[in-house]
Amino acid sequence: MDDKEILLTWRSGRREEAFNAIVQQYSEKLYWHVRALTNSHEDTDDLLQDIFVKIWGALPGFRGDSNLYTWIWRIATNETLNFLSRSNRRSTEGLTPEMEGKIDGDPWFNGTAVERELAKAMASLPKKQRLVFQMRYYEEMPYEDISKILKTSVGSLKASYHFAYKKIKEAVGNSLGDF
Amino acid sequence: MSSKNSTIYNVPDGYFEGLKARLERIPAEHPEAGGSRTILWTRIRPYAAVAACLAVLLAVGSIFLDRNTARSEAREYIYEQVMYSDLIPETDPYLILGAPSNVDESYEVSDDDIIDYLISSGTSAELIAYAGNQ
Repeated sequence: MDDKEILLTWRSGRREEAFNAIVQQYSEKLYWHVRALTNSHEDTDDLLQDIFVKIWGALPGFRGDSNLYTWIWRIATNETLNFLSRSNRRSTEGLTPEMEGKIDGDPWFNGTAVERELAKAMASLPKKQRLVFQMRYYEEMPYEDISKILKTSVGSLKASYHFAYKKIKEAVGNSLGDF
Repeated sequence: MSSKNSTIYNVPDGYFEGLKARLERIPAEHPEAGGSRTILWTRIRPYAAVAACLAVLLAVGSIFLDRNTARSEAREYIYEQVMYSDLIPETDPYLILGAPSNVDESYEVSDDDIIDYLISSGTSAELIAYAGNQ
């Protein structure tokens, strides 16, 4: 079921069916989105529950002014950032020892050494640059969609991506040599 | 839209099936959210609008009535003050409190009493002297 069909189903009164279609369509993609920001499977699992409760609660107010998927991504991103703020993991710029420990000790990490350093470099970025890099590089999302999710101009996003790329290249280069 | 993260991280076996089953229980666990609220709100919206209008009318009306009542009371109070101030010099305790029963009813007002009254009522000494000479 695509977004248009989901919305038609919702508006026809079959609300649970529409919500379940959203779960089927988006839960796995949202998992990877949130996972890269939290660097923790357990935190992501808890957050997804909260995110979908929010989606269920907010769906009656969805007017269809934006795409369903950018609306969902916006909720997920805001909820994840609130979670990170609450747990003070991003209270200061730079890679905190707690975050580095999570990345190094993640039992579900399956990447190479370069990808582990990349994850650490990402975790050290300022919030906006990190989000832009995550959505553009990892999720291969068009700038236009990121712009709608983060409510920022495309030009600003491109600049953020450029700075993020430079910082990550430098950080990974320092750790592993050429990148 | 794909995600490179899915090649970097693993998840426990059967995780996504379990996750989806858990998330699909949210509507049953949170019936107050989602559709029921919208249906209820849609149903009561016209009544809420009428109630809101009535509340505004009542609030405006009560403020208007309060103001008029308060203004009328204030006007009455001023009238009383003006009326009594014409009849009773406020500085004369004898006149304000009334004549006690043991006061000599044959007491006559002397020139000193008049001068005291005129001074207490704010009449200038020049005017009193002028009046005394006429």
